[in-house]
Amino acid sequence: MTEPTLTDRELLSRLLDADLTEGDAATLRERLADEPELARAWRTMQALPDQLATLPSLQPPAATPKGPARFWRAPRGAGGPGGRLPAVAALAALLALASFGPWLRAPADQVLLAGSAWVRGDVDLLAAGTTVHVDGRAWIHVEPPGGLLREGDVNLPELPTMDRKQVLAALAGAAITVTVYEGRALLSPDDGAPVTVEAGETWSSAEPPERPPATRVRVARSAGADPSDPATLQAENAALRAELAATHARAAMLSGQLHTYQGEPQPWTDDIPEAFRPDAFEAAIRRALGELGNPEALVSLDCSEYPCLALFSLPDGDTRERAGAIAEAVGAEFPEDANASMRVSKSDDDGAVTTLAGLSLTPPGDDPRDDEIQARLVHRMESAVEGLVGGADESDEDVTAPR
Amino acid sequence: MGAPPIRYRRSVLDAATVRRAARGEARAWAHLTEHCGAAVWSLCVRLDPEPEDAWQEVWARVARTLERFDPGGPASVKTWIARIAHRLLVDRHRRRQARPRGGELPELPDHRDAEQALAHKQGVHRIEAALATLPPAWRRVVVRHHIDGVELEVLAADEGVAVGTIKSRLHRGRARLSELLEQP
Repeated sequence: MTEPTLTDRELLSRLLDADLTEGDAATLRERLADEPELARAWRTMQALPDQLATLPSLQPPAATPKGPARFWRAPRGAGGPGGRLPAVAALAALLALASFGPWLRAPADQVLLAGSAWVRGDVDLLAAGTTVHVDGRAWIHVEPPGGLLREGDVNLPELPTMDRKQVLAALAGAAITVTVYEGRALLSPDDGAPVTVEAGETWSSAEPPERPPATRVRVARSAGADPSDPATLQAENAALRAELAATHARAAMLSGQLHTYQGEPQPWTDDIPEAFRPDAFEAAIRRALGELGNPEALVSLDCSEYPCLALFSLPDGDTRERAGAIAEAVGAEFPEDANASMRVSKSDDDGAVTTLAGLSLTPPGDDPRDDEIQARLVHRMESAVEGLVGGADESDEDVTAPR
Repeated sequence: MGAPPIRYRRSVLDAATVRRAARGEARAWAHLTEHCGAAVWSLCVRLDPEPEDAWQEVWARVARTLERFDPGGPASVKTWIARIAHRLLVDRHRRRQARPRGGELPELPDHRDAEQALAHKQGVHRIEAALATLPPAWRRVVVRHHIDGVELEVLAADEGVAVGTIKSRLHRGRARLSELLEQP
């Protein structure tokens, strides 16, 4: 008996796919009846497709690969830095933005001339005279020199093709501040050494960050030193005190970084109008939901810090319409030009969709704490949703107030 | 006031999620990679000697082109991504072929020990090890057709060759596999 050749096996493969002429197929079938070894090879060939099809998938690496970069800036007239919209109009604009994709992809030559912007993803841009590479999430603010560029403020989606040298010349003297919330940013100023800004850190070209020296003092005893000698003990005591001071400084720095990342909790101060305080806020929410005929929608209310954050459960269906209805009903209970922030989070379990919306309102006008409040609201919302829906299997839509 | 905790273990990769992933939303992107990751990684491991590099390259290409995916089209996003991966792996193979080599190196994934795996006589290991010994062109066709269920005409388009060429590669690949799997 002879072993089937590779050519024999190729013929068997073609027979499996009916890829032979009738004559060749008939000849091969006769051989299968007469040649046991060929028949065995035929059985192996017949089993092969199922064996391959049932091979298990291989587990991919744990780390999520980098995704598309995204860049967002509030459109002009809809509340740029320091601007405000009436609460309901703001929410309507934001919900519309969320519908049509406010997150833009940043080309490599994106330029931030003035003002502030959130940057997410893997983005390269030019801010003031500094090339900034962000890999994560960061807030970038550019304060141009004098009023030279105010008239020339440009919306990033409408960025003109400016010569890079013109841009750099015009921005000479501008100050840039970068606050990194996730990941890191690499800054390459034209006139300085590169700087890496890690998550929780803020870097400004106007005010160099103050960092405590990260020094550690080691007590090194010389060979033969008497540990009971007072001089030795005093030296060790001094060294330990220095190390303790350095540790305290580092702890303070880390605490500051944590607050930068999570936002600073804001206390309830006496100047906050009654309408925005916990009791009145809760009463207004309940009245609004009563008007909508859906009092059960409120799932949590957090007034442990300012401002109050209400979490609603939205029914399946048109999320934006339902969220907008709640926002409008709640907004009617507050002063017309109150500032509103809303964030929507959606989860799905075997087809059962649950949507949660977080809503917060603050009094009209500018508040010097706005940056901290917004950062804190993002953290509080994420924490609240995390506590209710658990796990990481949820998709979020950021619908926050324009700044 | 409070609501009982609600636990969710799985999310659906719907068109909205794909659109959000294309816009760069981190969680949507994580859903996408979780949903399609195993299929892409399997291709990278089976068809490329540097699967980690290939993996990064595939997802970088997906990130750049995801906005072009049509959720209303005939292919699912998983199929669409698998085709991107396939074409990229073909490109990588051709680049490797074009590079001048310092010596005669076998074209085998360097993370496998085919002879040792065959000696174990465990079905999955034997088949994976046997696959690893196939020439890349045969291996791609066998993997994509039998494991990913891709039609031969689609493979021919992705490889840029005639359907007859794809069939030849498939039959030769099967012949070699069946011979290896019959070995003790």
